[in-house]
Amino acid sequence: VKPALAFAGIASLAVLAGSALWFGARPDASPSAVDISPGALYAAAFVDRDGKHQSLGQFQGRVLVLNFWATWCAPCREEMPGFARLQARWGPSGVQFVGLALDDAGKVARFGDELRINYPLWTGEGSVSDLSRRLGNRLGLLPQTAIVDASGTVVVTRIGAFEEEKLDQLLTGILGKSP
Amino acid sequence: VIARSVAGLAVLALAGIVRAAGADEPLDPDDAFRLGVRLATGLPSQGGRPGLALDYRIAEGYYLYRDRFQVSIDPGSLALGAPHLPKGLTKDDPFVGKAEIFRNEVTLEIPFSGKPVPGTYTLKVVAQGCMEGRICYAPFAQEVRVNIPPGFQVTDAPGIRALPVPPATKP
Repeated sequence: VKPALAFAGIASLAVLAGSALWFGARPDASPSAVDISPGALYAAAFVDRDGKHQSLGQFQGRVLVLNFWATWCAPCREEMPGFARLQARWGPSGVQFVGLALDDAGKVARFGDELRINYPLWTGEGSVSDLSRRLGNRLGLLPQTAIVDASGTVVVTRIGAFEEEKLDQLLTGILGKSP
Repeated sequence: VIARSVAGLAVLALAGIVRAAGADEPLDPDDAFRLGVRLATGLPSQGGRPGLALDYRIAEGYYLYRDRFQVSIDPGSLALGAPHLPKGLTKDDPFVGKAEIFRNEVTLEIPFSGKPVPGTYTLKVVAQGCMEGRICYAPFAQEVRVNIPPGFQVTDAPGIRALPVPPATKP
């Protein structure tokens, strides 16, 4: 990574933080509230739409964007089409979105089809809410999004919807490059 | 690698800064949706039958979904009928569709099923709701305790807040 690119990434983050301050946006749970090791994060078990067990470990080495949501949560549904666009944009650069739903598996599958979500949407009895809590979500708020770097370290957590452009800028900063 | 580490540190630092800037932090569910219970000699929705009245005071800008309540009681020796919920407001959300919700306040009326056994009981209510346009709460559980004194139903024991019994309506 060239220093210039790194500088650009940091600069864009500074602009992002500044604009977030200005508009009162608020990633709510700081990474300091995170209570999970990379090993535990990658081992957390979920279930896909076919009922097969899945874990985040299969994406080790990629930058993960974990989004906690539910089909009845309006701000969750509002941001997801933007996540699908970012998955298409950033996927080839090593970014993987995963939706973790606090919801019924059938509803999740129907919603995924309806909105043509292009990233995995998993559920899990207890495992979704447990991971959410360990990522600092003390009050069980939705949506919640966490960005995990390629080594399994949680670098950003946010409660509340992400604007597509801001998430795009954050990913540029974390990866030190544009897609 | 170094540059990425620096960028990562910057992300960490900025996330903390932005977090500190939040002024309109979502309320704890217990504050957004304040729950109380009353022992009622006559529930208006139940033809004056006795039961429990669960009162929610909902903070401004928040709402509860009507069809998402789950009520259980411990110990289970106090038999309860099906909760009655008043009609809610229709919320037509462009992303979720139509749903019935409650704002401001709502009372769930739960009749006793059979003769209530005196004792102290814990009611557990699971509900779902949202802060308008911002965030939603994953299903959250709240607990309230209620005491049924010996002799309840015959006369109101001192200290018990009872719902007023509606006047008998003429045929």
